[in-house]
Amino acid sequence: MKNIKYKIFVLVSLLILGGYACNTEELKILDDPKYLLTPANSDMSMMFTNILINHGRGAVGGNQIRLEGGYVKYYATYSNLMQMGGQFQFDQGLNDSPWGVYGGSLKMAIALEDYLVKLNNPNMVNNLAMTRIMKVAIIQRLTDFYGDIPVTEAGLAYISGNMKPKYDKQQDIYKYMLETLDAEAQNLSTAAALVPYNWKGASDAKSIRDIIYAGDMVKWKKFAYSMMLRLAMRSSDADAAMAKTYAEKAIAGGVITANSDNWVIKTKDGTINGEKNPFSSFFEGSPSGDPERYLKLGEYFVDFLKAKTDPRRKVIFGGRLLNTITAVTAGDMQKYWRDVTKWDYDIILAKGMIHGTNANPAPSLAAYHQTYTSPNPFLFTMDMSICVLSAAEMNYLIAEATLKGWSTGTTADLAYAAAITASMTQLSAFAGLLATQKITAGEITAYITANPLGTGAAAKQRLAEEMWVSLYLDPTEAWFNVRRMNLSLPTNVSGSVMPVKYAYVENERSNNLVNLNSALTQIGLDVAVSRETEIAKRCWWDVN
Amino acid sequence: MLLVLLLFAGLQVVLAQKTVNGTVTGTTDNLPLAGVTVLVKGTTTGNSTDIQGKFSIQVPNNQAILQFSFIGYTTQEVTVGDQTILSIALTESMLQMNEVVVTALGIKRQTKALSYSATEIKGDDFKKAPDINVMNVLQGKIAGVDINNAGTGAAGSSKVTIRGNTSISRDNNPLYVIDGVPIIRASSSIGGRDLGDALTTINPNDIETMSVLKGAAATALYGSRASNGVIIITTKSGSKQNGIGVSYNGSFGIENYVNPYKGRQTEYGNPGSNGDNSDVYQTTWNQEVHRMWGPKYDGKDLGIFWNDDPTKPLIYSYKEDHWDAFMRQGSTMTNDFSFNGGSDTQKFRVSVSDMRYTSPIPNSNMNRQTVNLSTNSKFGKRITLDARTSYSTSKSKNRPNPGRYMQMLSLIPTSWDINWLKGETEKWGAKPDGWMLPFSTNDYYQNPYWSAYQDSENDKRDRVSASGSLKYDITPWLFATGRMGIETNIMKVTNIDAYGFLRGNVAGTGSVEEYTSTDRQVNMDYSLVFNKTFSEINVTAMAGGSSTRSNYNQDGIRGDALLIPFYHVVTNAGQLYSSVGFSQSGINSIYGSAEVSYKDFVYLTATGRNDWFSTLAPANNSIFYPSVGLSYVFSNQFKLPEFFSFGKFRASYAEVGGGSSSYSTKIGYSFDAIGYLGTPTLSLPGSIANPNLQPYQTREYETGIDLRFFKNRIGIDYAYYDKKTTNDIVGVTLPQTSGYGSATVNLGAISNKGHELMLTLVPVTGKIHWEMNIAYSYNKGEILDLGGVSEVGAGSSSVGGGIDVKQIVGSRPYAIFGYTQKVVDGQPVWERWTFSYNGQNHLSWRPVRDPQKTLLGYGVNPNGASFTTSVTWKGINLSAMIDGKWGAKVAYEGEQEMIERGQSIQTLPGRDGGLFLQGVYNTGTAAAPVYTDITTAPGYTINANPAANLPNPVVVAGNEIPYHVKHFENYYRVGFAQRVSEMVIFDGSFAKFRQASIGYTLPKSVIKNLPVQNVNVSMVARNLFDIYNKLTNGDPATGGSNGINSLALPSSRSYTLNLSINF
Repeated sequence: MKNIKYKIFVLVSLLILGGYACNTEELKILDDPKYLLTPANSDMSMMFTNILINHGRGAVGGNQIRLEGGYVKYYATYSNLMQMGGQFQFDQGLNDSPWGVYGGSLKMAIALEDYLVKLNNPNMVNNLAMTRIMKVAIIQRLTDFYGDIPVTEAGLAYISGNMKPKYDKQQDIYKYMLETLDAEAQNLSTAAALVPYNWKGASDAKSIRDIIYAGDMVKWKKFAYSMMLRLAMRSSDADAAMAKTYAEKAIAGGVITANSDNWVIKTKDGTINGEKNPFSSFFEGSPSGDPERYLKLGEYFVDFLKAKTDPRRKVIFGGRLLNTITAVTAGDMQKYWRDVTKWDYDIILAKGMIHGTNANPAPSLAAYHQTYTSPNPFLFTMDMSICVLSAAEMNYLIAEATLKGWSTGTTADLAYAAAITASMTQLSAFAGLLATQKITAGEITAYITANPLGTGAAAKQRLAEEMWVSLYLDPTEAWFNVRRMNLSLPTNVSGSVMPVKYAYVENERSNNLVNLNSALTQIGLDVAVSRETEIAKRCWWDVN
Repeated sequence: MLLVLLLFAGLQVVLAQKTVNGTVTGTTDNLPLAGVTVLVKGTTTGNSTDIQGKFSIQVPNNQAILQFSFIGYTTQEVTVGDQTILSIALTESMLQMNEVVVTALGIKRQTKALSYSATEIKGDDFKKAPDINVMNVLQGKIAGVDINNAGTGAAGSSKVTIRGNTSISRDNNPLYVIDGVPIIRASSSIGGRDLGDALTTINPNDIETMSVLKGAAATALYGSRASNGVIIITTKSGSKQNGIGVSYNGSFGIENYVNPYKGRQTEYGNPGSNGDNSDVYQTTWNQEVHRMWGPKYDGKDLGIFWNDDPTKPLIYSYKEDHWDAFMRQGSTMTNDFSFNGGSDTQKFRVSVSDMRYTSPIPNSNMNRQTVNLSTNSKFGKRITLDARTSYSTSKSKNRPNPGRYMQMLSLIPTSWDINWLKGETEKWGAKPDGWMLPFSTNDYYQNPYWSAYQDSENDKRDRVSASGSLKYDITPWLFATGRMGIETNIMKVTNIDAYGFLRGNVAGTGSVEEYTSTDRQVNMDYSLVFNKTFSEINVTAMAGGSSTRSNYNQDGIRGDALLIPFYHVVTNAGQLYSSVGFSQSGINSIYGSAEVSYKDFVYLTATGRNDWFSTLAPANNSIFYPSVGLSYVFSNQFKLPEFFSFGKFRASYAEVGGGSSSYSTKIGYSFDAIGYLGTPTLSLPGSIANPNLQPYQTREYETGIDLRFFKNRIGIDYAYYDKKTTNDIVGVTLPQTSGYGSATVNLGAISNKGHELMLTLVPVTGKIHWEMNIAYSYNKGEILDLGGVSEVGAGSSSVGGGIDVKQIVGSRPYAIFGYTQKVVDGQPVWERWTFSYNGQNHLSWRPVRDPQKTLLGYGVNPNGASFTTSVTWKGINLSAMIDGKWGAKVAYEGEQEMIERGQSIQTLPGRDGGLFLQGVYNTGTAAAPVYTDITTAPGYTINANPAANLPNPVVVAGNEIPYHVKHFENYYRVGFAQRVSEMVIFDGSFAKFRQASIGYTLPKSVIKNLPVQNVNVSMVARNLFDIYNKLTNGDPATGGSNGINSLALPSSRSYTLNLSINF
């Protein structure tokens, strides 16, 4: 009896023990996560939306105003904290921030491209084309900031396991971007079956994911050719032959020439910071904001517009604080910002702030606000849409290409007039503007008559100036164009000159040093170069 | 084995011929000893003493010898003779040969049989020097065990590292096992706040023993979860006695932070309104107000008020240190009752405790209540049932956010009274309109009173664990046992970003987050144990299996943009976000062990275990861990000289390893349903998963000797280990350009080799017992291989122009790299530089920076030592301990904050009288440098002429401004702190007077008329002072041990009075 019990016990024990060893099925089930989203169970078209949002909203913001806004003299202040660009100072944080797209929109574009290529679905040629066009748009901004950057090996850590990407030459990057745009503009199809922009076949998703053009492939094609024209003209000094080929191809293919086709992302006023216009959030400041931190329009910019009696003064110039307000303290400026009873909006008396000082040139803080003209607050509303590529820019580029004698199918004067018209209509179309700030058709015509394009060097200078004024709402593109078109802007009081490059970022120095050092060597710099020296190094297309 | 022997006791048919009764006491205090094992020598007949030290045992005849053994005391043998009542006094000894320790899987083994190093801390140590945080008691006591406290007090977690970092990036904390069941020790943090871990829910008075198993051989039976060592906690259980034994433990303690800002300069204040040294104080705030680069404090009444408040006049002088003024005295009160009793077959123990802790940080506290029940029942002759349940509930209010306090308390101008920042009486830190009272134009600076009183993180934590084990004696030499333990941790967290802080959530409109997380773990194990003696050979063998299932759920809701101001309820939100978290994992295991001993002097042990993980792909998820060990007690084999009391040699080899955390093999996208303007978005994760992950493996050789001389008056326990982890599962930092921030990979190998020495000296024993203990450990870590790359990132900081911490092949772990000043022929090199201020260029000097970062040191202290001494006389016990670690460097972020604002004493040199630079400067070209003595340069001094106290910058000869505060600010802040690491890299070594205690046990004569058995009072002081600390403004003993100290709170000093009574 005793013996039997014992044997049963041992037997049962061994069975239980044996059970552990082979029970791998249960372990597999345990590793099946409930909430994990993978390409298989998610809708990848939502990632495309995310790329559009990140690219659009990344175009403008406080950093761009503080650096490029100061470089190109749109803005000035004496506040140490706000005028990194106006002082031509180097700031690691501001300098490194555009690089963040490597872990954001660019990474998503690369992952989505890889997904679509592997999916190899003939019904998704448009999806792939749009993804690649956006990828080029993201890379363009990045390379124009930093010069030689990782492209071919970038963002591949999960796809190919490449964790330390090498840097590509900007020349090669431009070639890649132009070829990609060429191919994808042709791949874009307006065939009805291909137009729906949805991954999962849900009918309501038809165009909603494309928050820019609502699934209109004609407009995407125009955007692709417009990017091609921008890139072609940007490389025109460095490789005229390549530039001519692609500029003519782009214009023949059809670029954006009407404001209704602009690549624009909407923003929304409300409680969600991530939906408000980042540009406007910066200008509006904070309830306890220090009054000295409010930027003024720059002296050179104001004087330039005044000299030309440019009607855009009405839109760009804000007011000067009324003399009746004798003191301003923390928080006042945000309260006054849009209060029409506090400001004098006289565009004739408008005065720009001097550049590159860190002392208040006025006797008091109140006097500072009374003397110098602010940016127009009614232009910077929280729901102001962000424009990444506009008809005005394209028309100027067509005019420039025509002047070079390239085949464009129009005259330089016509394109020039169209550009100015597009720029002025675009600016005065913002809903927040006061009625008196809108530009009339008559004013546009008068301006074009008074400021003809001219010929030769004068025409080139005119285009550079106009491009500069027209890109007021995109200081980054304005800076790229100032560099390429050699628009001469004044140095600041200490005599230092405008940076022409962003320095390579600290993150790469920590994690990808070998490749970074070869990039520095490749562009002719010492690996131990100081950041201050590096930002004076011209990139490939910036020939002089 | 002892366990086994005791069990057999119940099976013998005892033909009792005589009953012996008696009492067992300790020689030092004459107090009864409970739980002493009384055994009839050569038989398995035994019993144990009750709480009054009484025993009763039946002996076969007068020749019988009774053996009295008790942990921590010398075993005594008494021949019964014709006595029927015995009075036994046992001598206390730290060096008892027949010590029994709890080892892997709860198996009790004799210390002498162990082939590895294992140390046990007894419950008494908790009583002698109580602490509400269990891990603090272990601090400094055991060679090779490093306890790093976050400085967040009783409610905070501790980081424990045993024998160095086994992995370069996994959590190196050991496995904790309570009464045979591994516990969930999930520590978490939210917004920089330390949420503590499961150990903070344990009542230290319930602990009977804590065993620390350091090496792989000791832990191999725990397999995957034990590669970082195991800490086994055994809680108290009931004992047989007449009636119910009641004991009470109460303590009251006070606690203060040791002010970390001992290097705060008190001489210079903030500059005037032009940022210069004119004595016109700031009338409007700007960034300059936080920078103490102004003129010397002179007590002048500036005639203006802080924040326009006439009750707050600005007198230009140093006010009370902000740290001292802001922090308060914390306190702890604990009350703990336990009841125990039982018969031969049924024993129980119940304890209840209440702990109330008030943190030295204002408005932060924690309460904890625990109930524990343990029962031990014997049914018939063969079945023993052991059941334990433990319930603990704790409520924490406002867990501290160390970084925020450490930053804010270092940047408020020292000419201000911090009480000014209190704001409204009814709402500290706020303005009359309810919004935060700012003290800066920088919107991101949070008023510390707002941090403490308005923002909050409150949590309620319930931990329930229950376990039952059944033992069945199949034959006298074979038994089977099965156990199941279930543990559930439920935490409800309410996190409030108060409405009214502009840079808080959604432009200051506040945010309330509520979430509940449930962590559940079920452990089951089963084993068969065989024990039989064949003449001079004893064999013990065990085979078993276990399974672990872990499950985690989190459900949360966050409400942003509160609609009704200051109403912090989640339903009052303009925008609601919900979140869910989920993970589960499992491990299946089988294991076995065998120990063969010959004649009590050779012990040979072998164990094996195989684990299968759910977290790895099925093809890679199995791993086997073997171990072998030898213990050779040569003093039992040979006749050694009289003074040589004991000698043992041990050696072992073992392999352990493990899997990864859940879902590391899968990449998951994140989905935002609210998205942008109503369009949902999908994004990629920041780190890369790895479907091909393999288990990591650690193998360790260990050898050691244990020698004791002069009847245990001198004891030496030495161990050497060589540990190597291969296929480590590592999260590596990637460059942004790769698209991802980090990746999980199997990467290379890391080695740890070390020496551990425990030395015990008893110079005096008898009526006075004086004992000294020295524990020393040295661990040499080395990165052997990183899978083809030469280095990986392991942290970075922006201080000193940028610090990188790296793991480098062939080097110690956590190598710290930073920029340094260039040195040529031993001379520091300087350069002329121009800074622009107020639209003018100023000439100054700054260090020339070496273009590449250089190695500054390593982040982990390789050496650790402690010295403890104690004296016992009659009922009085005095003890003291110092401990320290040395050999590491640390980049201290707190010092950067202090230098940025001119608050550190490091920024003082030269401010009064000028700074005369020493070194060289380049008079040649960059390509062909010519280094010239700087003293030959024109204007090589900084601020040479303090008399020229110019109110406004005036350009004098050579663009030199004789006295301008901006020169110092630029020299120290911009020239040094933001460019080179010299001022923020410190020696990370420290030594502390860690503990002093005095205890007194009331003599029998005093208490004999009282209804109590024994009364003990003790007083313990912890962290009395720093003996060695090179940080100008911080504590190297807290906050990270990986090279970067990121604004951790310092150690706290506490004094605790403890009363313990047994009824």
